[in-house]
Amino acid sequence: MKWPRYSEMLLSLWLVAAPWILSYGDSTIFRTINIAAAAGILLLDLLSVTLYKRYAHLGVLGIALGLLGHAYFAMPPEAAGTQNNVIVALLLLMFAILPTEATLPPPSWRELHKRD
Amino acid sequence: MGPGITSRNPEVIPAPWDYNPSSWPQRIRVALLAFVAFLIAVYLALYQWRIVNDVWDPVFGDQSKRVLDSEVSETMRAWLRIPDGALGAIAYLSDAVFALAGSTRRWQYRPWLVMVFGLDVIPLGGVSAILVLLQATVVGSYCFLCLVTAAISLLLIYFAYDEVWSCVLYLSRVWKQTRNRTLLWDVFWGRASREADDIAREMVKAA
Repeated sequence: MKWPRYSEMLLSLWLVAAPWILSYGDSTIFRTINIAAAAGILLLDLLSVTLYKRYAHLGVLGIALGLLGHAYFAMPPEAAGTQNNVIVALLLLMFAILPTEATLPPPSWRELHKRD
Repeated sequence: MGPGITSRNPEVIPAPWDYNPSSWPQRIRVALLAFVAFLIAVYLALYQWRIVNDVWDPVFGDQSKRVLDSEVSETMRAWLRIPDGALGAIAYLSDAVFALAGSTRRWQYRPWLVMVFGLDVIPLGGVSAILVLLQATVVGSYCFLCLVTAAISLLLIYFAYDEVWSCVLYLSRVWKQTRNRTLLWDVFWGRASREADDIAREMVKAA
């Protein structure tokens, strides 16, 4: 059950699609930032899910904070793109703190009780 | 080994309760309640975005619109970049998500997660409920669905505090019995320890 990572991956796909669906305007920089953020999230989540790099997903926290800062300080305050990125960044912060195997005990506890 | 503390029977009842506050039925109840509040907050945000044109309010009528379009709400929107209804929706969704994460012994295995859940539900939920209840004095109007979400916030506090209390009790026993800051730090972040496991055994009985 790696649902936090799959949720982040879905949010990253939305980040890529959002500029076209919500029409962010002509600025290609917003689109580039969203695509770069999505690529970073996918990479970190794939590392977490397939290669069992347990803490790789914490990098998503940095990407989410970057998206949040960019939306606050570099995007027009009332634009749909700004609101979208603020919401996506907050959702990413929520999922990124959760461990990959979210409903299982941590590996060290599993190991300790396996020995009992 | 104490009663019921095996990997085959991982569900145990921590002090001071006669049920397991980390069990799925307990946490699914919190998640479902938070999800209902999430849906209501999404509906209020949809009005603030004018994706829907009206707000249902069987008690206070048009007062709901006055609350949702108030100067206070607009000021918050300017600060937050998103309507306060949308922020509330994210907060309730996080209550549900944090309720569902972790095992049925997370009070012992992942104290940090129970504390994040507790912080999300208890102080933040309490403050938002008080703010909603004060809306009549600030805005001069009431919003029925906002009051429903405030009531849900208070119910969530009631349903969530038991697990947080067991977790605080466990951490305080680890500290009192070991006086070891490093061990306490490790236990808080979910790293296994034989010593901490022995302390946990003293405060549980089999489910």
